Amino acid sequence: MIRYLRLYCYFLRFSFSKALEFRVDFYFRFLMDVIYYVVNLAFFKIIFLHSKYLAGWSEEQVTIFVGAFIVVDAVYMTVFANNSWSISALVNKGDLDYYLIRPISTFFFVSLRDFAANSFLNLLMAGGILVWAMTRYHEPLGVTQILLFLLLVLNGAFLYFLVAFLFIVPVFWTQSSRGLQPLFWTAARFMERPHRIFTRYVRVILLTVLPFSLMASMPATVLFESNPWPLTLGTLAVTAAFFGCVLLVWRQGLRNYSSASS
Amino acid sequence: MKWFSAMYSAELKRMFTYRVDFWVQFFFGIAVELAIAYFLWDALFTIDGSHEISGYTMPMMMLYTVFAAFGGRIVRGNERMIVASDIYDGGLTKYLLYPINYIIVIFSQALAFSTVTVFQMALGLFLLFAIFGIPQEYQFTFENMLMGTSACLVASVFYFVTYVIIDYAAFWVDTVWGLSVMYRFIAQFLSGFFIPLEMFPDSLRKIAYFTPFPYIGAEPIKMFLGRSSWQQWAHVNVVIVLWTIPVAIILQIVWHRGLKNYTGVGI
Amino acid sequence: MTNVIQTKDLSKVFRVHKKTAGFVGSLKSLVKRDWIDKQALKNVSLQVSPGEILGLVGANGAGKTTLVKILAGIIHPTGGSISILGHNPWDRANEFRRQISLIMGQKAQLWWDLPAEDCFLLLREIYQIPHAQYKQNLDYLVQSLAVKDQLNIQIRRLSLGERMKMELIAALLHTPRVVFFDEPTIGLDLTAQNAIRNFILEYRKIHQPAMILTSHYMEDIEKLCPRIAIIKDGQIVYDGELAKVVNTYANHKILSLELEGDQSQNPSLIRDLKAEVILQEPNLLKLKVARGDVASVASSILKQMTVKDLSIESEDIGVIIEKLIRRDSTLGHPSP
Repeated sequence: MIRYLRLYCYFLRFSFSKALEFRVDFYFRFLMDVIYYVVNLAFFKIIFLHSKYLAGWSEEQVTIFVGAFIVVDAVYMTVFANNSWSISALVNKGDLDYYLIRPISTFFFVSLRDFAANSFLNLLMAGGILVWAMTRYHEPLGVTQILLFLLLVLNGAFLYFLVAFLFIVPVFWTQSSRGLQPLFWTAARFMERPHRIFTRYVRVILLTVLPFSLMASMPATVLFESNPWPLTLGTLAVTAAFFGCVLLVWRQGLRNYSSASS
Repeated sequence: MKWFSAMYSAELKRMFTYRVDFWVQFFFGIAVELAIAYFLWDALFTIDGSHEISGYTMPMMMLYTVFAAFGGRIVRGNERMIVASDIYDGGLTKYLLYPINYIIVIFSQALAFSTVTVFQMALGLFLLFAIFGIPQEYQFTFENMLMGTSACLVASVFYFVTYVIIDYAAFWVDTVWGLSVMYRFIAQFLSGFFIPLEMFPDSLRKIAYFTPFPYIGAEPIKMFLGRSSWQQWAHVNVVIVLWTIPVAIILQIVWHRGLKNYTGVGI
Repeated sequence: MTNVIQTKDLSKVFRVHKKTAGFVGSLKSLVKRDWIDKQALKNVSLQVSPGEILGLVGANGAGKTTLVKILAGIIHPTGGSISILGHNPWDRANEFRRQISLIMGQKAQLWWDLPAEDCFLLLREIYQIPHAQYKQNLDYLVQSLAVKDQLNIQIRRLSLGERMKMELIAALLHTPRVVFFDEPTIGLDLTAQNAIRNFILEYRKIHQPAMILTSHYMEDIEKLCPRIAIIKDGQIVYDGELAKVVNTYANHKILSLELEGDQSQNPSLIRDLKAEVILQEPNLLKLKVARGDVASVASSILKQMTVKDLSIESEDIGVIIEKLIRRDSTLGHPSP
């Protein structure tokens, strides 16, 4: 365990030193995310010009929700995204070989090696927006709720990664260069809406099989809940199930993996 | 111009023999957009039992979303950053050697894409109307379709030149992706893709109309919805053309400057 | 000495699906797929002991790289058994992976955007090499390969030769007991090739790992591998000493003669020799002679012509091996 933590520190260290090379990418990412955050906040602000509530939430609550999903996005972009994008290339070009022969978990290595230090500032900015949204909420928030909320937001990023991974993993079996990734990006938009707008079957699906609503909407729900534990544990349980799934599928994929050139 | 039609039809053929995932992606994308929009507006509309928001009833709002989804895709075209990748991996080199204009090649491909999207829109509309029926307050006329589609195609030319200029940044900068995404986001927001401009606060809407974006989004959608006129159609097209000309000129300048920086093997 | 690497009846079958071209073909492949079985390896049994370098020789597509990848645990075999250091490579146990190394000439393992020394530090952490040992190994490797000044340059800025040296260092930092080389000198200039070959020999002297090397360059094989295995169509057709290959299969010798004066005046003399003329120039004569006839041919020439210089060489190893690979019928039968 400790060993993997130390290893991760090395990943971080080298990712930072390499990232400083790409200044332009840094600026563009920053600007791009600023636009993304502004447009999303503006979107809901405009909606609230026409209504006092949305899916049972007030404007302040929805703003916190927006803060939650942009943090989930920022954490994913920083910690996982570069790695997800490389996976299909690694499989298709047969470059997984070198990862396979190291005496560490290949899954860990492949998923976390590249920390997008260029997005680190965005992470701070998103975090800042979330904190701002929480402080302007006029009712007091319980400490447990806040802690569990933050935990679930981080969990949301991890869950986002796991679901994305399941959409990418078909590259092991098909000749497709990106797996089902484009479908994932489309479906991920469900994360950006409060889950209570969805009804019955759709909501159930979004809380279980395609758990986009567990990534940001559920954490926000937990924040306002008098007893946050059931929802929290439920969310963590679904995440654990997905993690197990991913490991299984990964192992199967590796079995299928035969390098591009022989 | 014969090779133009040759490239155009080659691209058309390529798209039709494309693998299943292209078509699946297209319709899946539309379905998700419509679904999310439906639930959102439904939640809004049922709150105070209101039947109208900014001049839209629920059915009209859904129609708006449908036309925004299809029309938007006609306007935005392929969005695959082809030009940027050609510059980065040296694929541009062969085009510089051919006795043709690179930008025309890309444009013929973009036009082919938009054409197929028109066809997809027709198919999609047919399916949607067959399944969900046509709302009472809406009058579907082929005239409106013609108005809207032609405006979208003209708009796609504008979007094309702006998109390519951004891609040309690849001559100087080692990653264009962030810039591209930024532009797309702003364009979509100000063109009314996410929310009808009628719902915007007045001040914001006025600002939006200073940009070309409402004319490539909200206005064509109005035509599809039967809320426009041929006069307005002419006005919209003129505005788009007036925006396109200076951008096209800048495009040429940037192209020449950029070529000086081109190393031929990816930067 | 116990074998470090041991395989028995190893086989690998790749299932490749056949696709008919065009749109209809694509549709069809959605519903039903035709599969072809491609037998990449068949009944491969090998042993390698510590300090031994086994050369794997064969045509492209013969199965060399597939074999190496199976031994490294990257691809799983269809049949047979393998034991490397007591482990089954496919299990990919950490204990196993800590002791092996793979160097592929055509694929980079180091990270493009990091400088070499950062890559090494990362590997040190991955392999948990104790600091003292790391420093010792690194100093030795860097010195032997003379790359001290390139350590803090990003990998992508290095030349191919420099990069290969860094890859070698990276592969040997953790003092592996088994090393797999897959075309390590491909694309390098002569100086770099020599440097790397000498280095491998030095390293072997000190650390005695078991090594398997595949290469298309005969110089690599001749200089490094006292023992070779020839693979043809996935099967081992020869496994033994390199020197023996020459003795076993080469039934001819090459006689090179530097002559005094123009020999064209005596064409009949040359025709009468029991030899095949490979090269004939005014002062130079090269003949291919059957082993048993070398003595008589040489003495005839020496008696009848003025010879300034004479040398007798074995047929080129590369040529012999190539013949073996092709199962050339002109190849002599193995002498008893």
